[in-house]
Amino acid sequence: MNRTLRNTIAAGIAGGMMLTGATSALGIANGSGASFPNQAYSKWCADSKLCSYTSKGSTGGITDFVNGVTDFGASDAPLTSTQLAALRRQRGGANVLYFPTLLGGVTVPTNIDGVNKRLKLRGTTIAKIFKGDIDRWNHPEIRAANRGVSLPNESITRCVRADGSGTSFAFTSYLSKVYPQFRTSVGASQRPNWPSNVSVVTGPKNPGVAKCVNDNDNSIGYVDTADARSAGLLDNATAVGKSQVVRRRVRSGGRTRIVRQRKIVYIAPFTKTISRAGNVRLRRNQPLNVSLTNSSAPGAYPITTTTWVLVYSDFARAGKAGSKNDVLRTLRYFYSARAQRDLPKLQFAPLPANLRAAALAQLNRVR
Amino acid sequence: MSPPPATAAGAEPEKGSALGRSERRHPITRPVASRVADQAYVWLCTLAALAAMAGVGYLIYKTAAETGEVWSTYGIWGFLTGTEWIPQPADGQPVFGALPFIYGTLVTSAIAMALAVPLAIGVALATTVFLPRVLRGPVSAVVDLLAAVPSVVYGLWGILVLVPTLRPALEWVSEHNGPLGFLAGPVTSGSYLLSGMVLAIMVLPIIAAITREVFLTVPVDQQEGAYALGATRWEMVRDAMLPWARSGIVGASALGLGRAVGETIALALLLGNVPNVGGSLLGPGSTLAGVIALEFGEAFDVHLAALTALALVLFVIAFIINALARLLVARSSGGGESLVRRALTNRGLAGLGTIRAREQEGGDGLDEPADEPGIVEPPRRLAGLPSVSTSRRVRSYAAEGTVYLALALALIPLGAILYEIVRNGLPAISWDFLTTEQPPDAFTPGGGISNALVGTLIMMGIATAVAAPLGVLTALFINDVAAGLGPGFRRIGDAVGFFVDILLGVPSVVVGLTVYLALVLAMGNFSALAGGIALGIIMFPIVVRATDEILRLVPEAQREAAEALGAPRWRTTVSVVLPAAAPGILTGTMLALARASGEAAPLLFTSLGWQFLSTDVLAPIAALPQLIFANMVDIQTPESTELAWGAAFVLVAMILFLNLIARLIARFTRSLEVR
Repeated sequence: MNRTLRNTIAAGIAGGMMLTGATSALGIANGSGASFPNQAYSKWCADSKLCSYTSKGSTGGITDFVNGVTDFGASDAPLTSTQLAALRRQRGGANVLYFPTLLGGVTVPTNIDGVNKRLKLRGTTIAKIFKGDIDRWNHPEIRAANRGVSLPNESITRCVRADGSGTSFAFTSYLSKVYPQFRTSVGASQRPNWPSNVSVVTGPKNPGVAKCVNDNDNSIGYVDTADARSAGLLDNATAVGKSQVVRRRVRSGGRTRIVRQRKIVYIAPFTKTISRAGNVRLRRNQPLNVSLTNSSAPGAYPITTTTWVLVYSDFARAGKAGSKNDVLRTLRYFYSARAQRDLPKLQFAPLPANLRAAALAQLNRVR
Repeated sequence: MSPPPATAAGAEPEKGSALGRSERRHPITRPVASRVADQAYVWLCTLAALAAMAGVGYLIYKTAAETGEVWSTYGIWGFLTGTEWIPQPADGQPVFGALPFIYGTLVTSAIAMALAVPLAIGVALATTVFLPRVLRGPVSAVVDLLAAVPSVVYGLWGILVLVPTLRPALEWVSEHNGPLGFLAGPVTSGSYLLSGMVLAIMVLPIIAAITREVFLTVPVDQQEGAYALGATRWEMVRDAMLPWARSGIVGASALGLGRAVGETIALALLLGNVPNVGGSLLGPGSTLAGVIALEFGEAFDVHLAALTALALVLFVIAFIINALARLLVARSSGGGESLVRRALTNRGLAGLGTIRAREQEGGDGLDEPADEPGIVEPPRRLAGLPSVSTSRRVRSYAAEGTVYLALALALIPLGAILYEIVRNGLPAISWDFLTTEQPPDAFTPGGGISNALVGTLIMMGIATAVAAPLGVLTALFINDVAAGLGPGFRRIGDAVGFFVDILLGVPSVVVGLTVYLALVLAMGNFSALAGGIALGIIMFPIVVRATDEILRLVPEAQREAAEALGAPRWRTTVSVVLPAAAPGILTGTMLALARASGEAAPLLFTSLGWQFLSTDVLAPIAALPQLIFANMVDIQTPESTELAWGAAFVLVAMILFLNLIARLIARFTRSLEVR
């Protein structure tokens, strides 16, 4: 019998025998957090061999960063005041520096019976749909924006996230900015308080929402660009309307004049339109946790969001002196032309020049 | 032939023998070394049990300590009966009510158990008694294999295959049973009924495997006795096997229920995640474990406390379920005794019994080296004997038919899932797939799983090294040591068993969080070691429960025989009890390993993940289930889906391989035993 027992135990620790020839993880920065930029960070880390990234959600990333069990964090949302206080308390008074790394669009795909084209919807209309104020596809407001499209008299199914998510936060922040009533009823958060009197279906993660849109007729949802593409929903992603000043040639009395005019323009989510959203004015040494949703930049897709790498302002005080150089090398690679060129293929948009310059300048402030 | 001790715990004949054991010790003088070894054995088991208790206590304490804010704000009753769950309201205070999740957990688990337990008993009977000998091994291996399928695969299979297949049927049901209310439409893609069905498929292999092991411990002479009395196959099963195995079946079901109650990701994918109370079984709902898994990643402050409070509620539910299961076992323990009497008083059987008994004289079955010992074939019919009455024969055939029906019902979905894994996973497999690191992103074809495969192997090794010895020692304490120390200690043993059982229903993410708080923060970084320990904690209760069930069924006569020969306690355990229980212990350990190997959620908190090949136990490391999850649930591209299916295939194949090795070891040592 001794043999059986011994064999059982031996089989059990066979895996443990592989510990010999351990390789060291030293020199590779370890990061965790937001799932939104996962594809980009994973690719950059794999290509550069400078870092390893694990996607576990923004809040998880912030918690790890605060607890000092990773070298850098990643989040779609800035730290809350409680999180900031905890960071200062636990990491020797070190602060957080936000490094925007890329831009991404949140698409609003639709799946309507008999309509096989991109719908045009104003931000306020989308807000009314997700707040429950508009519940039929042939609502006058939708019809007015989509002349020539035969919209059915069917009620709308809204597909939303089942889990807490940065994508929900970006989407609802945008809707709250354009439609104040949305902020007070649904709210801008990772877990919005969706209306209960209309049809709302939840799906886990981005693919779950994409599947929900595909599975349900007369539905609308919000999905990141990569999963919208994978699910074949990119061609049905709404062109979002916003009010913008446009120049227009006007011919009067034989002369051509250029007049400025406020007009609703509808912008679809493409790499170029998403990238434009980063064209914001920045003050010198301004913290870079700026919100890019509802960007006023001309031609910018309005539901655009950025995501940040979280870095200790002072590695030594944070008790992480050993990882400072790994993190700085990692970030320099993230901002390199080579890395930023990878983004469109991953369905993200590169940072515009001003934002990238500001981020590189901020690198020098890391102690 | 002595009446079978249907339940060893608390049954009277055992108490007597425990006393007898201590009396017997006096007249024999033993060498000091032997006494020291005995003491060491007792202490080792006691220490293991104490460690287990401390572990469970720490887990509960850590969990409870996080929840103070919830009780002070909402009150216990208010929290438990609240029907609204609004963690981040647009304005005002968040609202947390647990009732929809308690309801969802109970309903889905009830559906799952109602479907799985009968089917599992059917499968276990088929693979021990009814199927032709050559088919028993392969069929039970297939069933075992399904215990290893990661739950995310079950969830995806449910969404991709089961929902579309059953939708027309469910729609028909909702139209024709509308007035019944609980089966009213509309049929949503996620529903209680579908979730319960998938859960049933998930827990079936666990229940079936343990039940089979329990059936295999039914003493051969007992079965032969039944046949000797002229019993048909079904009558033998009903009178000789089921009463003996009842407590084991309840134990196996408790294991299955633990998995059902604690299941997260499959339900997150399938149930629709709408906090509902009441409503149609065809509508969406939400469960405790499901909401914890879905919201944990992005929760903080009160929300986090409320989720942890839900975990505490889950502890309590597991506690209540276990208490009920134990009551059930205690109440049914009298049933076994009447076997012989009932058989003898059966009409026309008495005379036959005498003839058959004489016929069988000479071999008592126990030392017959059958290649699969434990179950005997019914004897061939002798000429000139009174034939079995038609009604009994019909009943036997009906029972046999039912067993085959259960087997078929169980094998169809199990086969469908395996088919799906093989169909999607096999094309991805190549040498490069196993030896290349994961691809840089989900859009790049190629890449492999080497970092995740090595990580999973290392963590499974650590987990087994933690859970298997500790689990077996704890089970020995419950079953042997505590009972031997006296009636008071027996109760302590029962209490230990009870607390360990509570661990069964703990959602794995809570285990991950506890290890994060206790180990990762103390060490200052994520590590394979922390991941292995978390998986070990998940394995531990399964090992204890499975070992305990098997140890109970080791015939008391064997122990007594060893002690009568003057063997010290530890010697009896090592040479008699453990060999008899070894196959069951191996099965239990394999089931535990299979369950743990598919866990992704706790690893995010413990081993985190690593994009490169690493074998450093003190550094972060990758794992297969995380890779599957990240490439099937987080994002879905054609490339990532192929990678994920390939990884699922490898994970299942790995468990199959380990299972085969375990079975070979069991068979090998068994044949040594006979010699």
